[in-house]
Amino acid sequence: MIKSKNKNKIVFQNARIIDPYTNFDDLGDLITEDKVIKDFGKNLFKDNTPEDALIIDCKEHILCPGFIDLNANIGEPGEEFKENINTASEAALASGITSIVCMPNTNPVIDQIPIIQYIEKRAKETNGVKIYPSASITKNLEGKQLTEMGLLLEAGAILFSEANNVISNTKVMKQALTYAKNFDATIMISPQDPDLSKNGVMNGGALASKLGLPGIPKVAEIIQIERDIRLLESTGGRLHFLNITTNEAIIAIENAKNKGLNLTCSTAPHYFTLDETAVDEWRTFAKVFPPLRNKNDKEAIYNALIKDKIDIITSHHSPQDQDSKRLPFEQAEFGIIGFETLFPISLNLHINGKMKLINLIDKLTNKPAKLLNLDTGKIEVNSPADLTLIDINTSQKINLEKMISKSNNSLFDEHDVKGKILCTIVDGRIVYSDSEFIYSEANI
Amino acid sequence: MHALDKWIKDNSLSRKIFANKLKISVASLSRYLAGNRIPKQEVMEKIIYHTDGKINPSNFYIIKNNNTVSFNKYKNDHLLGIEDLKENEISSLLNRADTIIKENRLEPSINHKYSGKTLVNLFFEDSTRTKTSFELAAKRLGIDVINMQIETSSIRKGESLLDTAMTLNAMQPDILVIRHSLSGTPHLLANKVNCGVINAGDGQHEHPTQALLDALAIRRRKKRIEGLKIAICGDIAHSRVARSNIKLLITMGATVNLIAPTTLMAEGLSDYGANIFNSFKEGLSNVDIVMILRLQRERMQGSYIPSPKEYFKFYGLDREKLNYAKSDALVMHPGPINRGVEIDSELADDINRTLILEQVELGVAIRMSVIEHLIHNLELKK
Repeated sequence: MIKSKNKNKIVFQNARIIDPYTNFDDLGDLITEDKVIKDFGKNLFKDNTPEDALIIDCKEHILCPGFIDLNANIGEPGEEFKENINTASEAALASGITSIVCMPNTNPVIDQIPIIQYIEKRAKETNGVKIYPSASITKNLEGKQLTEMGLLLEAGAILFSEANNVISNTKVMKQALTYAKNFDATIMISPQDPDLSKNGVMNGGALASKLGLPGIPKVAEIIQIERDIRLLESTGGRLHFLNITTNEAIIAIENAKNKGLNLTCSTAPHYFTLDETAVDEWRTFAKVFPPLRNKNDKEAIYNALIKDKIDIITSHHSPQDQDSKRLPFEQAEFGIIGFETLFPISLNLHINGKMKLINLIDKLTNKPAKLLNLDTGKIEVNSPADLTLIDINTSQKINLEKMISKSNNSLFDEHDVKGKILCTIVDGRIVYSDSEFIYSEANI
Repeated sequence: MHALDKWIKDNSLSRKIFANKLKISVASLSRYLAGNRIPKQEVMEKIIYHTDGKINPSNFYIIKNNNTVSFNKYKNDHLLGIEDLKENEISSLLNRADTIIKENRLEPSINHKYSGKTLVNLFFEDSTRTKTSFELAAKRLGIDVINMQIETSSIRKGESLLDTAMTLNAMQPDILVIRHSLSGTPHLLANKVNCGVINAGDGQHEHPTQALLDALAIRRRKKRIEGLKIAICGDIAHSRVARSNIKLLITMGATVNLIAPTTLMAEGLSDYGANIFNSFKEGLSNVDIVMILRLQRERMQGSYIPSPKEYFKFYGLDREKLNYAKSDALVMHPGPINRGVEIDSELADDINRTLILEQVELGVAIRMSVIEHLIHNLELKK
């Protein structure tokens, strides 16, 4: 219901405000002014709704901080035919995501200042989702020489990651963890032993054997995690594991956390929703790195999220064009797009897994914000107005053809889901709104 | 209905009238039409004359199909793997091959039934016996064969696999035979083309015609497959021949023992019902057939096995190890053989104990059978 054209002030009326940071979950109103949240609470405007604000009747839909995605591939620079910053931004905003960390495995690799500057310039031009580039840990992702961590951080790198690679040289990894401590920077690793996973294209085991495909054994993930935990124990510092797919990995990480290490981990919706059987008949859309594991692991990841043993859910957004997927399985590229299915698929943890909604949103907002040390991902007076409004009651079918991302390599086509994003706000601006929602509002 | 019978009917004649024209008895004509006899030259000339050449000698030389019933058991347009094939489908393919062998050996076939059909051999991997075998099989059936030379073709110029397949498809071949080093490639193509696709070996996945010819060789020597105990030995992990054979032999009711060093054993094969062994002594006990797999040269040094010498000592088949099997056990090998690595050279040449050359010979018959089945099914669809 648009009552005013003043876009510097937006009033969200009658919303179910959920904020994990302040542990707030109640019906109420929220007002933004310029780029920040001005005020929020129950019965905020008992009598005097501001005349000069744009007013949105939220009809008790959920208003929460915009999601923060730790693990996104956005195609730029180098693979603009798969995704670019504009399409990535639009797809992210339509998914309620207001901040993303982009991976350094671009072409050229994000290992020097000009690349960071380029991405920041493109992000500024696009003026949509907030993009935080991660820089590579080693030059050209070769696992040999450390990048200029201090200078890259000054230029705007948010953390250091090796994308799908790991640092196989134990000494280099030790140095990376140690050196990053100078700047209190986070090291982010997608753990998978490079020798055991070399040439592998799917989960190792009976199905891989049946299909005649080289497998990536589970132990590849566990070995890498255990080695890096040992290193972290000796060096201290901050380490984050992306893409956790196995039960044993969860146990190893839990033990390390109990020892007091500064360690966090994340996974992606496909790892707790799908298993290796999606690969049957050489379906290349199911080729993802690390691979989809078996049913037991899938359930273990699902339960670990509910029991809060995995801190964060990421989209693991990896766009691939048709030509990269329409190939024999072993030649096809790895990757599944994830922005637009991130919340709807994750919502199943609440609907079927009885996970509290506030805990689910915590893994998409507050937890990643804390890891990245960002002043967003929360609903607090004077914090950035990065918000999203979600309808979690209406059912919809995921439709690949309607994907906003430039690529449509998703495995969730035709899935019945809930969790429709109605409206997304970045720095107090409406950057996405569901057409039906806004039109029906405007007509009242 | 015989083509001549149809012609008679189409021209509103009767067998009696036509027999009179030929100056032969109705009984003789009936024998020709039933396929029991072939007209002599002077009768044949009259038939051609009276039918304006619509009926010609090829109409009388059509190989009589004794297996019509089982011929129809295999309904697929493609042969992509043994997986999911049922016992009667496999039997249908084997029976037809048996018939073909009989006919081949009696007289060279004069077969125009398949003239005008085209088979494309699309081989992305080196192959001598399989490619030649498919070519010979097709030619025996009167089918035109195109061998795609991968080195010189546009695939080397960067054309994608699917583009190549679509280009070939536009030329409307009837059968596409494909071998590729990557598993699942024939399945990918089968989804895109209109012709029948035969998998001639894909990566480490399947090699169905090899398994079929192995089964045929076994059945011809042992008169059955059901109830036999068959050992498959060697590089199971990387072998598509092993995977196809395991599925086929177990489907046909045989007991399958797999023998390999632990580094060359694949996971999950016991799910099919195979027994897993790491030594010949236990694995060969009471076995009727010993299948030896080829060990790829690149696996001989390094992490799979330390050396060919050590491999031969423990996993190479010689007479001493063969003694663990039944006294009349036969040895098979899909070829090409690494003499002195996986099999003792002298044993490999013993025609009383091995089926190695017979396997090659039967390969042609099996491939003829498969091609015939697919063309039969494709025509039914039209």
